[in-house]
Amino acid sequence: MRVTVEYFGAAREAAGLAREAIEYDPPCPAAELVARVARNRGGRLAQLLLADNRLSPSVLVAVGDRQVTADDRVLLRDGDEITVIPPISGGAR
Amino acid sequence: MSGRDEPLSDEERATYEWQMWVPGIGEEGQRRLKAATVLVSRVGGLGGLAAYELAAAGVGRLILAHAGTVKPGDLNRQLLMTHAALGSSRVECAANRLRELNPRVEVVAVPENISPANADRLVGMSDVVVCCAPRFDERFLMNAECVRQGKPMVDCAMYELTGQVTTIHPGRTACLACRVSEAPATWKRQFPVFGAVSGAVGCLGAMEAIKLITGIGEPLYDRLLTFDLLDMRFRVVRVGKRMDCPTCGSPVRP
Repeated sequence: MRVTVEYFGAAREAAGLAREAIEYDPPCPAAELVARVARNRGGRLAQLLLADNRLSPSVLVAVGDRQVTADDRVLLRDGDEITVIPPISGGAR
Repeated sequence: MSGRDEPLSDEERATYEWQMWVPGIGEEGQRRLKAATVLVSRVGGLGGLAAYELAAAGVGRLILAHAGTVKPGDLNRQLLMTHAALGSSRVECAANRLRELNPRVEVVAVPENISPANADRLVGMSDVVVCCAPRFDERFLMNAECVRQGKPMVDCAMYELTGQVTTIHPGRTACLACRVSEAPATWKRQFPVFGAVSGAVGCLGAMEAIKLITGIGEPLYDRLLTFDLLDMRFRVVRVGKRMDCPTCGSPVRP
C-alpha cells in the first residue's frame, strides 16, 4: 500500500522535500506512519515531529482534510494523502 | 461591537464605497467596522500588514501592542516601520503610518508586548483580537485571555515561505492550546522570512477580522489554512476541539 506525505513549514526543511510517497504494510494508523518516518529519518525531522518517540501532540497531522491525533486509531487506506504541519509563530520580534 | 453605532458621513461613504459594494457589506457593514475595536498583538511583518488593511478598511479603533525600537533587520518585512524611525519606538512609528493612511481611525499605541500585566485590560477593550506574536508564550497567553473573556481571536503565523491562519471563537471552536500544547523543541527566536510571506498572512488575518466584525462569509472556524509559497501549495485542514484542553476544555468535576 502507498500513501503520499506532504510536509509544511519547518517539516519541509527538515525532511528535505515537500512531498513523498511512502510504502507501508497495513494495518497502520496515520500518526504511527508519520512517527515511523520521523524515527527512520532521524535528525531534525525526528526532533521536530517526535516527543517521547511518539508523534508530538503539537504537530498537526491530517489525512485528507481531517485531523488525526497520536491516539487516533483510524487506519490508512491506499492512496491517502497525509499532511504534516508543525506549529509556527509570528513575524515580529 | 463595542463602539457607538454612528451614521457614516458623505466623506466616509466616498472613501469606503468600493468595499461597501461587496455583497453583505453596504452601509450596515461599514458602520459595524467603524464601531469596532481590534487589538493587534505586535505590528511587525504579520501584524503590521493586518493593522494596515484594517485601518484602510475603516475599523474605528485599533489597539497596537508592540515593545521595542525599530532595528535595521525589521525593515525587510515590517512595512509600518521606516528608515527615518530607526532607533525610535516601533509602535509609535506604526501608529503614525496608520494615521497617515486613515486619519479617521483612532489608534491606541501600547509600547508593550502582551504580558500577564496587560492582557486582561487590552483584550477587555477589544471586540476582536489578531494575534501575530512570534513567541509561543505570548500566543498562549493571548489565547487563554481570549478564551477567558469569550473574545474571538484570529491566529496568524509564518515561517520561511509558509503561512498559517485560523480563527478561534471561544465556546464554539478549538482554541490554540487544543492544537499546540507547547512550543516546538526546534523553535528559534530568529527565523527566515520574506516580507511578502508575512504580509500575505497578515492580509489574510485582516480579512478574517473583517468577516468577524461584519458577519459576512465563513471564518476559519475549526479550520487551519496552511500554505507554502515556495511551490504555492494551499491546504485547509479541519481541526477539532480537545475536550481535555487545559485552556478551553471542560472543567474537571470534583
